[in-house]
This record gives sequence, C-alpha cells and structure tokens, in this order.
Amino acid sequence: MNKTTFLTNIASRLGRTTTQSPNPRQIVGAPEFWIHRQKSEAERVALFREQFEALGGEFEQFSTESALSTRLAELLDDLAPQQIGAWGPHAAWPVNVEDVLTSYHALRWAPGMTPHAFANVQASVTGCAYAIADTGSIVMTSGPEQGRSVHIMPLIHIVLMRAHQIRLRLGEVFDEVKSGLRSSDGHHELPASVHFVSGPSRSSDIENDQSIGVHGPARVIVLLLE
Amino acid sequence: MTNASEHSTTVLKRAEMAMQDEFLRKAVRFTTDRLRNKKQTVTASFGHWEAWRERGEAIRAHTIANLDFYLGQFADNLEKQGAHVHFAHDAAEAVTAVREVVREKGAKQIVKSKSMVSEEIHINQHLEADGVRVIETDLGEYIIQLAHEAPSHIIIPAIHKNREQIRALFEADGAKNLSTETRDLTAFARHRLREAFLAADIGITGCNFGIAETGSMVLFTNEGNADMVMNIPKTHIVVMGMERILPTLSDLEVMAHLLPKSATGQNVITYMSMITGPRRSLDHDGPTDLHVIILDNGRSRQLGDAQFQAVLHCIRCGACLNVCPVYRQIGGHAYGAVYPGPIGAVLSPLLNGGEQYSDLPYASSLCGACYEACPVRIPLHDMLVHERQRQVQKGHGKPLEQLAMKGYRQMFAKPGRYRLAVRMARSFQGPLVHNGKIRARIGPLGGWTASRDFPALAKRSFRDLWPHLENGGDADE
Ligand code: SF4
Repeated sequence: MNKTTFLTNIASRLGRTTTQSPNPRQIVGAPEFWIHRQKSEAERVALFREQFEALGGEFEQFSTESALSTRLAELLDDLAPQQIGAWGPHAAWPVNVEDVLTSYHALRWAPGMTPHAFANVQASVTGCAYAIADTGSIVMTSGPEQGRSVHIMPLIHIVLMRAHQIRLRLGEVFDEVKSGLRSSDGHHELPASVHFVSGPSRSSDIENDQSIGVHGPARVIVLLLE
Repeated sequence: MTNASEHSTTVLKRAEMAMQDEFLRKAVRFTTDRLRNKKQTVTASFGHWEAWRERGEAIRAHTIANLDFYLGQFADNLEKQGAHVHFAHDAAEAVTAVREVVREKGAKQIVKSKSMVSEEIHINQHLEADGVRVIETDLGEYIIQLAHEAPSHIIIPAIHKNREQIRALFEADGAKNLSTETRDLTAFARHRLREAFLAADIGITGCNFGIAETGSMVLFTNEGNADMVMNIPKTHIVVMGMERILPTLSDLEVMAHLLPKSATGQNVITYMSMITGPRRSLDHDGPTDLHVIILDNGRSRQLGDAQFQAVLHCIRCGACLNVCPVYRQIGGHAYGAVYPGPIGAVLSPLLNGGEQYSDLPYASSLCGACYEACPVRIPLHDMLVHERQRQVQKGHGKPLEQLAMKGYRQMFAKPGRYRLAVRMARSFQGPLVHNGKIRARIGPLGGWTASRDFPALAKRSFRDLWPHLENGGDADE
C-alpha cells in the first residue's frame, strides 16, 4: 500500500486531513517536578554509583588519570582475557589510556573491522558519551572509531568516564544529543546508534531465575575520573 | 505453531486444559505475583506514579488522535536517513514486503528478537515455507521455538517451561552433558545463539517506539539480543504496528520510566537501543540496509471509534496480564491468540473482526484491575463490556451465551448498574479457583462458565444476588 493512501485513511478516520498540523498540546515529556530537580556534580556521581551498583554494575573512582591507568592495567592483569578490544585511538576518549591499551595489544576498532573480528574479544575498554544518575545508565554513541560491536560483543565491558559526563536525568541526554550533533546542512543528525546500557545483560526466562550475560556483557565496570 | 490450530477450540476448552497443568498454573501465578510485587515496590519508591500515568495517557492520546501527522513525519525522517519504508495494509502485505527483501538479499538465515507484531503476521511460518531458517534469539523465545510452541506471556514467553524441559530441548539442539543449572543453560544458549548472529544475513526486530521528530526507532530489552540482531547482520528489517509512535524524544523519557517499571518492576530497562537510519558512511558496523514495515492490520478501524480508539494507546508492557485473575489461572495459551490477557481479550477480536475471537471478551471478570495497572490508563474493562455488547448485537454469541447474556445486557444498559457491578466484582477479587476448578461467583464469568459446562459453579450466581444488590446489599454476604 502506498504511503499517501495509508495516511489518508488514518486521517479520515480521525476526522482530519493529512495536511493539517497536530492539535496543540499542553503536555510534552516528563512532569515539571521531575525536570526542575537540581543536583550538584558530587551528588550526581553518588546517585549514579548507587543506581549502577544496584543493577549489578561495578564502580571505582579515581582522582588522577595515572591512578586510573594503573588500575586499568591491574584489572586487565586480573581478568587475563585472551583478547582485549577497544575503541580506535581517535574516538572520544574521556581519559587517555593509550599506553595501557598498546601494552596489552588491544584490538582497535578501525576501518575494515567487523563484528566477526570482535567475536573472540573477551573484554573491551571504551569511553562513553554520557551517564545518567537517575537510572545508573551509560550512554554509548556509534561512530567511525566507536563501533557498536566493541561494547555489545564481549563478556566484560570496562567503561571510562569523567564526573562531568553524568547528567541527572534521561531527558537532558536527549536534549544534548539532539542539539549537539548537526550535520553540515543543518538538519539533525543523530549517531546511527545511541545505546543506553544499564548494568549487565540479564534474563529471567528460565524459571524466573535471574541469569546474567545471556547475550551482552556479564560484567560492566565503570572507572570514573573525578 | 499452536495459533492456527487452536482457533477451532474455544477459550474454555483451552482454559480447561491449562487448568489441569499444575506446573503451568503454579508458574504463571508465581511469575505474575513476582512481577506485580516488584512493580508495586518500584513505583512506590519512584513516587508520583499517578502523575506519571496521567502524563503517559495524555501523550499516547495526543499521538493517536493526530497519528496521520506523526506517522507521516516519522516516515519522512526515516527516508531522509536512508531507510526504506513500507506501508502494509494487512498481514499479507507485510509478509510480502519481508519476503521481497529476503529474496533480493538471497538470505538463507535470519535472526529475530522478540516481537509481537511478527507473531501477528506469522512471519516465521511464511519464511520457513520459503526454505529460510529463522532463529528466535530471546532466550525465552528460543526455548519455545525449540519446543514448537507459541509464547504464553508478553514479557516472559517461556513462563510455562521448567528447567528439565529446557535442558531436554537444548540437548536436542546439540548440547552435551548439560546440567539444569541456570548458569549452564544460559551459557549454552549464549554460545549457540552467537553462532546464529554471526551467520545471519538479516535481522528482524519489532520496535517499542518510533520517534516522529527524528525518525529514530527504540527497542527495550534486557538480554541484549536485539542489539546483536540489529547491528550484526548487513540488513535489518523492523516490523512495527502503525501506532508505536511518539512525537518527540522528550515523550520517550516518560515511556522509558513507565514501561520497565510496569512490565517487570525494573527501575530501568537494561538496554534501550535507539537507532536512527542505517550505518553512516564512515561507520564500520551496523546494517547497511534498513527496512521499516509499518503495519495496519485492523488498527485503523479503531480510529474514530470512541469506545475503542484508546486500545491503540497500549505500550505492550504486560502489566494487565499480571494482575488479571483470569490470566493468572489459565495462562497465555488459553487465549489462543497472539496477544493474551486483558489486552489480548480486547485487541484480538478488534484486530481480526468476525467471529474468530468472539469468545475472548468473556475470559475476564471485569474486575477493573487491568485498568488500574495500566501505565497509560486504558479502560480495558469498559472495552470488554462494549465488545460483549457488540458481539451480541452482531449475533456472534452462541445460543447458550446469548441466553446467559440477557442478564448482562440488562446490567450494561445503565451506567449506574454497571458501576455497581464493577464495584461488586472488585470485592470478589479473591481466589477464583479452588481444588483446581473455577469457582466464579460473579456475573460475567459465572455466565461464561455456566454456558460452557465448567465444573464447580458458584454457590450464589450473579443473578441470584442481583435483586439483593440492587437494594444496596453487599456482594460479600
Ligand atoms: S493495556 Fe496497558 S497494561 Fe496492558 S499491556 Fe497495554 S499498556 Fe500494558
């Protein structure tokens, strides 16, 4: 069926015409009381941590980049994955850990990479675009050096972030991805994928018994730089 | 699949079968209790739940009342991003659109993530008939696909399978020396389905919401399989009901709170995946081809119908199932339709028209619990009453039912009486089943059972109580 016929049928059932704009509305989005809440950066970090840990996420906080790098290396030693993966070097890294990634021979996302190339990656290291305190969520956006496969495929996902990336609520992130990314001709150009990740992959499909890591990562570890 | 063959039996027969399956009854009750309790906890701690529900209702009502505009905007934006948009009047057109893509790509293997709409158009059967392998990748759907069954719950499709049965199914699918530990079963599924994702030519998903202002599509999942399905294969097909639209991303913020809290009592869904168009020219993963099939299939008939338009507000959370005393006793298969529970009892006859599901509106006690649970405040119990009225007017009820209906027609004729009946039904929300048999004492279900030769009739039927009630008596007496 063609689009015009399809939409005209809907419009006529609704007593409208397809050229008509929608009726004005009073209610858009979240309630005012929700939008008008304020929290300091320290409070947002604390709330993010609380929510993220409640979802089964792991969280560690550092005051210097070198302390974070040292911990990352230690973590990779402990986990001893056969293959480490990571975003490409020119991705939007919030913290510089190139030395660690190089010394652990991380497979980097680059032209020519495919999901298949990352199929045997056991642990990945990435940054993130934002985090959301209310829900303990991490926001991953796709890009040339930020393949989606990097964080959806492995068993362990290590996320680096800075305190200032944490927003209080989901709606703030929507506003920013919408306004921040405009293509050269001025129209909204969202990344092809914006992925909101809240803790490890879970399922209750077997007799209601919670199981972790059925498809996505079984561990999500945040290393935060203040 | 069970759907087609079960049309010939009545909801009562199927319910009777389900009632005899003790495991099923216990499992359904356990799960629905658990989901309901978790929901209560999470909504209480979230706070202002009624304000959020009103918000949700207002957003959905506005969207549906202006659907031509928002759907048009959504499709335009999709096309701008380079997606192919197909409009399907009915299931057959949707199937044709999918088949054309499959043929064009020469696809041999397809992975799917859970989608009610794809059940609605029976896409798996059609593709399998063409010799294409279709693999369900949601853990619960994978289990029931191995068992050649249909889902029994919107959110937890394999609610009726125990771990022994699951192990046996996995062993038949190639597993060796598997224990019945959840961990082991899960690990096998992860391994098996990984192979499927990597070998697939096409991924098919549904879509929870399409965002008009950006042309984005949003999926809510906990396992992460949808992310594999839509990002690994080169081609991604989305099949969605035409009503799954929201005007703006700000509106999605409301739904992102309402949906998981209502569905499973989770504060947040594990994965909210938002895709906008196929992969960008500089990206190296994600689909290169994105096809979006927008399905009517009886939905537009509800538009402009004051009694039923609001059924299109539904966000498919499943909360109404978890509180429904009838669903809790008989489980999803007894409805014999794609959509079970109160929403299914309303939706299935509406989408299909005709007589096929005309007995479903009777599989309800009209207690109103579904309305109270619904995050977008759809008056499902009112709709069930309207549907019964219409079935009777059309002469679709069977003779015995028509006899039983006379009493209710009288009752539904006056709003005051109906309110009384609902109030009374609420006070009857206690256990309906005793010793494995339905002990329905309230009118509608009493009528349903009476006309269908169901054991253990009420001590006092609705009509026995009626004169007493009309004089202001209490139904509990
Ligand atoms: S009718 Fe309401 S409660 Fe039932 S599935 Fe739809 S949105 Fe959820």
